[in-house]
Amino acid sequence: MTRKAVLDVGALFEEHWTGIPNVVAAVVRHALEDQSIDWIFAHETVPLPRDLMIKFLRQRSGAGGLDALSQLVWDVPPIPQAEAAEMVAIFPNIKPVRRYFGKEAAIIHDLSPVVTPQFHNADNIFHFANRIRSDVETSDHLFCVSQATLTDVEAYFGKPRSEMSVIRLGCEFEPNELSAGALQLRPELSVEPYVVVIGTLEPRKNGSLIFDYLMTDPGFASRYKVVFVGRDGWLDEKKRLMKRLDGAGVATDRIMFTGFISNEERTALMLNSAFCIYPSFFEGFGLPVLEAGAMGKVTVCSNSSSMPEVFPEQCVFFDPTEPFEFAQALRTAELRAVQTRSAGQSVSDLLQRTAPHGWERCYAEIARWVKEQ
Amino acid sequence: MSRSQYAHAPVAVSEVLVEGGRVFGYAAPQSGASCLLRLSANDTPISFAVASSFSDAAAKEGLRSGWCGFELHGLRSAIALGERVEVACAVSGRILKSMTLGPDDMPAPSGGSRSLSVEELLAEIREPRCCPNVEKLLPFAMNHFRRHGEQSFRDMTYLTMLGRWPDNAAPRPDNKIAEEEKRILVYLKDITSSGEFDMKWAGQLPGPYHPDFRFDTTGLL
Repeated sequence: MTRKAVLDVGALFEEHWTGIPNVVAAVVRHALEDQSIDWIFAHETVPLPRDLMIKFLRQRSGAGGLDALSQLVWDVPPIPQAEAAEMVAIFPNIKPVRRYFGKEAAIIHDLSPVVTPQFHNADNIFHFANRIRSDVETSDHLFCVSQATLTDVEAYFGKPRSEMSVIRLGCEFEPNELSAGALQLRPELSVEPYVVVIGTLEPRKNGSLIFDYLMTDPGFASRYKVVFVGRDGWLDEKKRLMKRLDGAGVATDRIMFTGFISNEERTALMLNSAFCIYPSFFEGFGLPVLEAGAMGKVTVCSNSSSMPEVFPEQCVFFDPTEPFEFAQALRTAELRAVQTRSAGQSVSDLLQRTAPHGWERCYAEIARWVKEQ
Repeated sequence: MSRSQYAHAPVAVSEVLVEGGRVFGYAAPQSGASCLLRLSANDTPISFAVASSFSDAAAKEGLRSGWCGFELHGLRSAIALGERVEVACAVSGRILKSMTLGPDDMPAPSGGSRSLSVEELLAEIREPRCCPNVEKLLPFAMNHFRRHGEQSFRDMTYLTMLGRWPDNAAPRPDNKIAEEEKRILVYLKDITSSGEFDMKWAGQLPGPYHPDFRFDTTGLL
């Protein structure tokens, strides 16, 4: 008999998918194709139609989903507790219910609000801290997105290693996204030299290190425009960073904040950059490092938490608290970027290069655990 | 397995043109999502494009309100790689146009190259999913207004054009303008002439396939 399993897809209802919603979307995509498990997609205990999942995947957004959900909660009965007791459930984010299903597993992305509370606002810390311990305790298994996260969970909550495993997150690039950004297809075009700093704007991402550096070497901003790619996060980081610019001795038009942009635009920016910078103090995984590495880009990457696990062969590491190491890493990256010429790759080369870094392994580990229950 | 299979549908109707070193045209599915096209040379993929831009020719044919145009870049690279150049539906694999081309079929390079700023690069990438003018946006705005009412229309206009929900000071369509279509067009033009819109889009206007587009496209695509 096919195993019945529930996948909580609450994260997909976000309008703009970044981080966790992108992980959930990748798992849903594989689950839709997997005939060996009878997946039920659910928001809390309300089963959702597969068509809604396909609609979300098509538009790559949960836009309109809350309207559909408000109708569904009236029209569709929740999964009865007696049936749920026979099911396996996967929670890719904070658990909305606990011990409702027979076996429960959760994906732990990071313990950042607990491990590095200085980078979070109070509401977020309380919300996370109040829930995560119970989530860990009531889960039969935890999928941690890196060895570093697994070690943190073991240290903070005493969860036995036998009840945890590491899943390797993936990245995928659509061929049209790669083609749109591949300027070698359009030899009449070239782009000014620039570097990208990818991630939501928040203090944990350590963007201010770049401003510290620019104050000591304003010439860097003459050679490369510095482009921050990502939506505004919490603690008013953009305003704080911009304020640093006042004393940086760098023209304001050499720094750019894109805000949230589409996958296509983001891919194009990474692909045509001289190199990428990821100065974060703390990450559960560090998907942008994987994405950059998969495209053959060099990343000047923090050596903290999980980041050294992601794509070490394409990274120049530094200690995120050491401006001198950062300066050295930038110089190394400039030299490596000139040698690798990664922006000149053909689309078929890029497709081959990125293919091994998809989501297959991640989904396979989740599916294996489900079938073993 | 990729996102493509959910994001794109097989080509049902198409026109592929090769002129002046450009490969362009339109491609429409039977229904559902937009089509994905592939340019290849001797079976090696050169480039891909989604048929999601506005095409006057497709509009004249009554296909998806015109929103199924495409341009495939890289013809010069294709010719350099092999004589047999093909345009195919990337979902079904069906060949839509097959050509035997040589270097003489490509116009000489103009010589001048255009250096883009990062902002211009983003605009260039975004362009195929943008509306050529506000009039092309009007059918979607009207569709939304008629299906969902003024409140929802105003919300979605703000989300699409300004990337935020309307606040208390946000204007409403001017009911003194009796004709509905004119009222909505004036409203759209007011929003698109604002400094806030210009700051977000720098003169571009998101089309129905842009991820920020929030108007109801039912019955139009």
